[in-house]
Amino acid sequence: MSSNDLLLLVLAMAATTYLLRVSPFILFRKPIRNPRIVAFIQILPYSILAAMVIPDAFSATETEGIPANVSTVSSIAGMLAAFILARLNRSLPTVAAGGVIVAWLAQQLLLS
Amino acid sequence: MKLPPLFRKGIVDALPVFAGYFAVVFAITAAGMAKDIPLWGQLLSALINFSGTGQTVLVQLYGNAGILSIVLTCLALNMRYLLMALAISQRIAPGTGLAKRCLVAMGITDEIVAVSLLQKQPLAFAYMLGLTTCSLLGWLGGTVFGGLGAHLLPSSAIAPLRLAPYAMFVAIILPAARKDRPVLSCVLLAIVFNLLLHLLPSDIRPSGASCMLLSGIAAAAVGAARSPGSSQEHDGTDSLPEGNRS
Repeated sequence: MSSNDLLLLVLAMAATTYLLRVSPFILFRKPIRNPRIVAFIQILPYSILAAMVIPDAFSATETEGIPANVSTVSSIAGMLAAFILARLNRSLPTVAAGGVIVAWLAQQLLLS
Repeated sequence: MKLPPLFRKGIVDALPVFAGYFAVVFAITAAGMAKDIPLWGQLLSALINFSGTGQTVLVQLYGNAGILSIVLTCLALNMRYLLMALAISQRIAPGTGLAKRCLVAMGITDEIVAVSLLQKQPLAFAYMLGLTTCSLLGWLGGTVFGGLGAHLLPSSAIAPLRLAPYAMFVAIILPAARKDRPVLSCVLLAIVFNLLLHLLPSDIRPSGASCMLLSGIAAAAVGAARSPGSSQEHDGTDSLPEGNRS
């Protein structure tokens, strides 16, 4: 992606996000009455995030110079660790750090 | 410099958010550095998007999807800001001018809204400004440090860093799915849809980003259609997703 493209992308995202945030302040001010629409909007982040995780998380650590099976195993290990930490109700940064560290350990172990 | 007391209260109330944002965006930016996303782009996004979901979409889809796909995913993922802004707009102190309301709108994030909704009185502009300023500083600080800090890590750590956003998604999804059956079913359905789409032969299969988006939207539509209908008014506050982070 070129610099110009990146700039355009960030500006477009900002405009979109801001539009979502500001419209209730200047356009429609009434609460949304349809419970299904509300339910849809509230549940949408979870379903999209879920689709973002599976299956892409298991090829997350793929990089040049590291064999594919090593990165797959390290991704799996890291995601397992993340799952356990999340199950234990740890905070976002803790889960992220835990997952990354375990993935790194697995990677180093397999490469040595 | 004597700051208005409400502004100061906003700053103080947002200190936990400052800390949380610093850590979260540090991880996101580090992952972004691992993907060679220019730091200036991440910094600009941190400032003008000021959205955790927006920032992760940028990091995750950069290089894997076109501008339109990324913007559409951002739109879908951030649609909840509409509900949250509705909730806040109902609670803003009467008489707050349009310009000030437009400024408040820039700070509609999960955490800022959650703190605001705890207030018993109508929300003053000074208070919201304090909340937003403090939170944004944490967000920007974490981006800067994440960008610089990524250089200090050993090169072997670069690849595993790219797992960070996925781990964070799990941290967001799991508590909500455990708490709410509908969320769990919807999450599982989204995964099933996505896997099915990935099984399509490559000449008719949509791009990776489109698969995600379609699966997410379809699963949410099914989940919402099955939700029990009620005739109550909804302004988006009754079940702000707790595990949801901006």
